[in-house]
This record gives sequence, structure tokens and C-alpha cells, in this order.
Amino acid sequence: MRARQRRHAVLACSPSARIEALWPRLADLRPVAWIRRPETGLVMLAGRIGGTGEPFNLGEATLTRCTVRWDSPSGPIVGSGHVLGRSRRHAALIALADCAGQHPDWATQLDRLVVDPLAAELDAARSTADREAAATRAEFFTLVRSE
Amino acid sequence: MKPGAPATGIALEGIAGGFASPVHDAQATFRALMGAFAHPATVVRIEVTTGRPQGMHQAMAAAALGLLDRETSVWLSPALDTVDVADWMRFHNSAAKAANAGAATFSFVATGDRLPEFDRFAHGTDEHPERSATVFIECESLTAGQGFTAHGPGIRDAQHIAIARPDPDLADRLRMLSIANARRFPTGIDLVFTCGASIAAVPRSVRLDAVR
Repeated sequence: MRARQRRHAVLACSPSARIEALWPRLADLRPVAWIRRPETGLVMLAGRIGGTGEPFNLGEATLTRCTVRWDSPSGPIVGSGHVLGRSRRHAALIALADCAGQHPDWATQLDRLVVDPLAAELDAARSTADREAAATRAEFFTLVRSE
Repeated sequence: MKPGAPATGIALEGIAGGFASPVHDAQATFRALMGAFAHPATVVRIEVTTGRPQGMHQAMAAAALGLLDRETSVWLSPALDTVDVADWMRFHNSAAKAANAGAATFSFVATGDRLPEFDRFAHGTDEHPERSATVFIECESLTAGQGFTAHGPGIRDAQHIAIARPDPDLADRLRMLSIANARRFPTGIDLVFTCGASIAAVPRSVRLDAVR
């Protein structure tokens, strides 16, 4: 289950152009049927802060979701995709990838050809951002006052 | 929804699809329903393609997809009261099943089930006549069967409709409902007869008399 969560996180954070660039290395998933065509709506973002950690509503965000059914050789598999923003194609791609990720033979292919490279790219981008931010660090310390 | 509230799972493998073209099909369905209520007892077709769960026919499924939302609740007749149908409505419309028939906004009755007692459904209050049930009833035919004459607003003289259902007391039941609806107007129960892709609405203001 953690693997599935990781795939969703990586794919939702990656630009859909990158997913599409890597996608052709997977064979076609066919036949695929829409269960819920991509649709855009709002989700309430919940957060936790403060000493007690009580959840609170931060605000609403635009989200696009999609659900497809892949009639795989070994039976029907349903996959969902959720992505912040309004990219219907991105949500559909994630839903397809979710289908592939639930098929034992395809999951390894998907991870190797699509998810792992994207995760590496995200890590690289994140560490660059971290380094750039770290360079601007200001150290604050209190001088001990001599009496 | 309260933050942190858990979502309960739906088994997605068996979920049927929704409207093929969500925006246009929902509009076409709503337009057809409006037309059906404006011309009571006239057969209207809902020309959309939808996925639908086992036991639901096209027009009834389209009406459900077009009308239900998270603020409406649903009562299903025994033959339709399956996990397939309930999950399908929850998935596509976020509509939950009502605790009982009296709490339902929309009710759906399959051909194979007897007509439920109409007294079980909400007919609204004088302050809120809109808090009443709309009952969708699947029929074997809307062109053959027991003949009815409809009178009321939206009908110039009389409108004829034929309804084929397995209920032996269909004529009496619908006549009793007409009388009850007339007596308690503006509250009452609205009926929509469906058959395949066709519907015919009988709003509370319309009187149905069986043709002998």
C-alpha cells in the first residue's frame, strides 16, 4: 500500500509533460473504460497545528480527479487519479498509472520506467531548492552579556 | 465535512460508469425531466447514454445521475437495494440511502417489485411542500397496459397514458394517490414512470383515472 501512495505522490507532483515523455516506454493499457471522466472541483485542505494537533480547515484548493477501469488480461482493475489544479490529462494519466501499479506484472515496469526516474527528478529539484535556501540562512544567537 | 472525518470505502471494481458526456448528458436529462413535468402523462425519451448498475434501466439511471447529490437521500425498492446500486449512487452523486422511505427525497422502484405504500413517503408540509418524495417507477411498458386518463395543469383536455406493471391493483392504487394528492395539495407525492429510455411524469397536481 505504501508503494501505491508513493506512486500517487510522485506522479501528482511531477509535471504531466514528464509523465507523458516517459509513458511510451510502457506498453499500451487496453481496453480502458471511464468510470468517472476527469472532473474539476474543490477540496477542503485540512491541516494540523498547535500544541494539541487538532485538525482545522486551511482552505479550499482546485483538484481534478478521474477514475478508470482497465480490463487487464487478469481481470478488471480500477484506478483513480487526483491532482491539484485543472489538468484533466494529468489526472487521467495518474489513474492509468494507478491501474498499472495494481497489476503485479506491470507494477515493477511502472516503477522502473516511470515512477523511479520521476522520483529522482523530484528529489534533485528539492535538494537544489534546499541548497539555495540553505545558502541564505542567517544564524541568530544571543551574546552573553558580561556583567 | 469535518476535517479528519474518515471516508468509508467503496469496492470500485464493480462500479458502473456515469454519463458518457457529464455536462451535456446532465443538461439533456434535466431538460427532458422538465419537459416531462410540464407535459404530464406524456411519454418523453431521455436520449443519453450512461453506465448503469444491474437492475436499473437507462432513463431511471440518467435521472438518478442528473438529480441526486449529497443533499438528497434515496430509497430503493428491494430488487434495487443492492450494494451495486447504492455504491454507484454514492460514487457518482455522493447520495446516501435514506434511513427509511419517509426520509427519502427520491425513491426508485424496480419493475419486479410491488408498488410500495405511498403513505410511507414524505409528502411535505404546508410550509415546505417541496420536502416531498419523487418516486421513480420502472414499468414494463408506457404504451400498452392499463389505460389512464390524466387531467390537471399542463393538460388541455385529457391526456391518455397506458402503464404496464405487475401490480394487480395498479388502477386503484394510483386513483387513491390522486385523491390523496388532491386533498392535501400543495403537499403531495410526484411520480415518474420510466420504461427503458422513456419517462412520463405525473406530478401531484394531476389526477389519474383508470380507463375501464
